[in-house]
Amino acid sequence: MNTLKNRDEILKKLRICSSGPEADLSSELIRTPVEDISAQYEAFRQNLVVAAGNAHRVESNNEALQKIDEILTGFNASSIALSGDEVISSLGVRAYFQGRKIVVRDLAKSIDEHRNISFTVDAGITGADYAIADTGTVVIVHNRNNPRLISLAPPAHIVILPIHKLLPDIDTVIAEINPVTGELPSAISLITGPSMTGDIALQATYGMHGPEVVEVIIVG
Amino acid sequence: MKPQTEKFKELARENMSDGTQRAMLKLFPPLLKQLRDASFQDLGEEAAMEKGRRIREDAVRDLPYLLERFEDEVTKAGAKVVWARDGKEANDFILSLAKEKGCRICVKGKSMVSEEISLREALVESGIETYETDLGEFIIQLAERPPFHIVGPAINMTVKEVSDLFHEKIGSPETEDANELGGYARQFLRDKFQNADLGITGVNIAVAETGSIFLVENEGNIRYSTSGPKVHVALMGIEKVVATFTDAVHMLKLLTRSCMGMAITKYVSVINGPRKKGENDGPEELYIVILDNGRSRIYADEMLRSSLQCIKCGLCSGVCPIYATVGGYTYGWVYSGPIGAVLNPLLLGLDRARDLYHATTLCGACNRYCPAGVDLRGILLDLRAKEMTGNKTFGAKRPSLFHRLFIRFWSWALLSTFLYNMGSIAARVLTAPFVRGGKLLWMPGFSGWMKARDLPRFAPKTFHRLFAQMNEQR
Repeated sequence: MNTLKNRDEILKKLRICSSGPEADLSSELIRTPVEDISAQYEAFRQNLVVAAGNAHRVESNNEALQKIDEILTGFNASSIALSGDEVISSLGVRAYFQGRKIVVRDLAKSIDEHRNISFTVDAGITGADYAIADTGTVVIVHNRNNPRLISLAPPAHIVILPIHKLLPDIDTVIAEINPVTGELPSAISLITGPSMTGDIALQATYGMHGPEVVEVIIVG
Repeated sequence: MKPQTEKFKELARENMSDGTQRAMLKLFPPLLKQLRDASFQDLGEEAAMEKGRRIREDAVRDLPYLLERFEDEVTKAGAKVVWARDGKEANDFILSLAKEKGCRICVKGKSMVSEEISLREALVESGIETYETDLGEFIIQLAERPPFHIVGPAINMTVKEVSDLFHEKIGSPETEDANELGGYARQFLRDKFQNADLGITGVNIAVAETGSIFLVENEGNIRYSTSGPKVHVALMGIEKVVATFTDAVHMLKLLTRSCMGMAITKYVSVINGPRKKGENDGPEELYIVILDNGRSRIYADEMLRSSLQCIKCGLCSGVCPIYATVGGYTYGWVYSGPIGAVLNPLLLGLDRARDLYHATTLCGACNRYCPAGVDLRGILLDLRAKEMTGNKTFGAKRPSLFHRLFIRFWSWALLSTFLYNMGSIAARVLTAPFVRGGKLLWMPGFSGWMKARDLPRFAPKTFHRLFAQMNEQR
């Protein structure tokens, strides 16, 4: 198969009939201003609860660690994997769990190790780049410090982010990521509560392939 | 997937006598419709729908240019674009790629276009362990059935049926709990996710501006398929592209709402090229296969072109009175509901699927709710017109000479007042023997049509006659 020949053939067929191009190829970025951050947090929390997840607002890093502890104890987690992004590395999770029974796995150096860790720990703890109030969504811009599987393969996902990253809607988040001039990351994940299916007789089943538990801790 | 569109009537009869399915069809579409209506409230339905229609119409108008830009941007991001004229070319490429890269286990996300070209079957045949990983698709793969609905492929099966199926095929214990069944599928597939070296997905929306692809799901299987395996192949029809990133975000809002009444699905992945240097997951290589498979032919016909605006949300099935009666299997191939009645004939040939576009009420509910502005009703009518004129491009077989002459005569008679009046008198005289209890049960020449229909008997006086009498009395 000659893909270049195919390309020209297909495009030629289309060009004969197309009256274009007329459209502007530049995104129209829309930002909604943040008015009342507490009200916005409350909207986020409610929407996430509807999506079968959970949100907590804490004042300091220390309180965030206590909240993580509480959540992990709640389902008897004995091992956790950490992402290596700024939020998580500044939190001091490893030091906090020093001398406890919980095994803490830092971001792996190799691909195979990373995969093994992600598939075996009880919970993945990652930072997020944004949260969206009107849908209860967290947005992870993946890069070398915040890989994909830690938020996907473990049965629980704990997400931490500072409150100023909580934005009103998806449009504002897109404006921040700025696809027009910015270089896009290899992947962005929008995560709204735990994994779900309704494929058998329309009955909601949580934790289908991804995590069954999604807890979001917002600091500040 | 092997088409059975010729058997529409047979399949309709069979499916309409399936009690469980009928019960499900009474419940499922109205429920989705309610969820959909509720989810549109925060968006400003009318303006949002209008914007969606415009985005898709503009995108299809500019299609070749958007595809070129998309290719440029995808290539810049480090992925490779492959163009396939038909399903065989796409399958052959993916098979040879899998061979070249030494892939053994393939995890696949739900993709209608891959069903269209029987990609899974081709992979399995060539010895690659291939798993549908969306729960609904996994079930129909095991059951060897076609999808019942674009979004809920196995939604018509009962918990008991799925339990029996899993027990037989993957050896899980029998249960009446849908959650447990989900758990068995999860256990079975988790190992595949961990070890797969080829991930195959469709594409929900492709962005010309940035070369991004949007993937929409609830289960997480698509995230696995695009994170774990070293090779990711994303398969898309030529029509999937929109102009800008923000256009894609708007279509995303409409898609998740129309599809399952959700403001956003559990997961949305925006993929831009393969993994970057230093990243621990994501594919080493990303291939985007752009497939024509008859679409450029549809594009060339202005009456049909809007069918390429479809974003495969499945809502037209949910609002269609025919779908609600005959169910998804009756459409005999990949696409079901009104969009199936349009795409199946166009992709397979009109003569192989003629019953699909005749079995419609033309009520237009599909047009009313389509978030992408597909003129389903207009196209259904156009397909009938193409059949009458024996359109060769889309494989129409002209109706019999008798049929054509009859229609010719019919239109001629209707255009003449004299003949019309004569005809209406003749109809009264000729049908009189077949009236029982005020109902007309049979008419000469209409036996097929009358088999399922009773008409009220002709009124003793014609409207013209009554009108004339009324004027005389004044």
